[in-house]
Amino acid sequence: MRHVARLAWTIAVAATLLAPHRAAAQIRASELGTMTQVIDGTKLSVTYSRPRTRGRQPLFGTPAVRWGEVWTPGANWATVLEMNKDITLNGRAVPKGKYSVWMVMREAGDWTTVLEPKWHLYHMEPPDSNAAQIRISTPVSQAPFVDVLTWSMPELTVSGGTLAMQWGTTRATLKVGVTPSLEATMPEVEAQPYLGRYEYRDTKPEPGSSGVRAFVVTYQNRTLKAQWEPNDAYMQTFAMIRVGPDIFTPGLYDKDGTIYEVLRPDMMFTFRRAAGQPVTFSVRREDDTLEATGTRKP
Amino acid sequence: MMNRRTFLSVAGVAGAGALFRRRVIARRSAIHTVSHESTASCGARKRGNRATTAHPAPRAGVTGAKVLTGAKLAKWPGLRELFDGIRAIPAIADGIGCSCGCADVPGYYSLLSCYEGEAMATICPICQGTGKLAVRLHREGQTLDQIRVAVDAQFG
Repeated sequence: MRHVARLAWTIAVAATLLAPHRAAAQIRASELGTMTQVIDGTKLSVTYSRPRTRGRQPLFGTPAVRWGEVWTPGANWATVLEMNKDITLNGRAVPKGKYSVWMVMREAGDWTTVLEPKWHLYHMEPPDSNAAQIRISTPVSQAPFVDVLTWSMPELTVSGGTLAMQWGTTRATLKVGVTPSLEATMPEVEAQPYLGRYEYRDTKPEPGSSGVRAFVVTYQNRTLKAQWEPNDAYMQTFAMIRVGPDIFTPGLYDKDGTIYEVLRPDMMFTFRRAAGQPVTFSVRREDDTLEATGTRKP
Repeated sequence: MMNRRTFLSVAGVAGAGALFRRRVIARRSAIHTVSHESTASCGARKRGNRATTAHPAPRAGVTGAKVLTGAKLAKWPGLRELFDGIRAIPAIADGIGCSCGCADVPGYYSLLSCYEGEAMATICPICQGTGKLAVRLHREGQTLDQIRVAVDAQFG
């Protein structure tokens, strides 16, 4: 009898182990998705289950999502927002960390986004209002139809972007702000010694080129700036961003005058002084290769 | 509006900046390919404000004996000079932190670690760049503190 029981147990265990792992291939109405974006070293990610409209349109103000309901913009487990650094959302400070995301929808006016520090919550259990939550007024607009609820960042700048949640034709937007890692401006008194004209000499000039050009350093809008003469069509006039004593890296401007790319560690200008005055500089790449040298001209 | 790649592809009129950018972008493409081969965390660069890299205190009596030599660098002959340079300055390399993310690798202590054992510096442009900078500045007579400032300025 004991032997039979042991055999039955062995068969049961074997059957369990050999059975197909249904969860690994389970079809869900709202599949899990993630959206991750890095902005100047700040990493922001949204993890959420993605419901489809399945012909339900409109969605909001209906039994799918009722006005005034506290709803997680996703499905199943609550949508989770996580950042590795402090940010702002629509101007509200949000400390780095992990939050479950909830929204209070209204038929008219802005919605309210609620960030709840308890992040592992089921969608049927919206949190009660509490002091630890961060509540953010969230504008809503109409947009082209999207069948699957989607979190995205359709706009990016050097200092932030727009985080958007869209489902159907409804889009809720949160303006993201990150802490800049570099300061482009510097006091005029500190910029003054670098100003002037330099002879820029490329160490490996293009065939047929002398590799020698004029390099002009100026001070505009509280920023040390530089350009070649004739002007370089790609870099244009760029910011010389100080990253160390007498060490600078270019910041490139877009047409709106906003820095969109900083060339650290790819392009580093290091000035050398004589009698306290910067007189020469070297330009080196990330691999420390000498790209060019500069010498102050009268 | 002309984007970066379009511009560089037609940059017969390349100025100093465009020439530089073309070289950088060509190198970045190579880095991308290499990064797929790496299982460690090289490239997860900690970007940020000045002086963000944590620099360790050089360990007493540290030597460059574990820095890869000869046969172990057969796949990377172009890196022998760099590894030789690091081997010659263990007390400097051991006082510099590497900002590429290798600090999370078991056994890591300093930039010197990047040149020992599995030697992430064989594939990581940040370990390499930091090492080249340290070797050059030491040859120019700069102190460990001065080298740390330069490392932070470029890679911090």
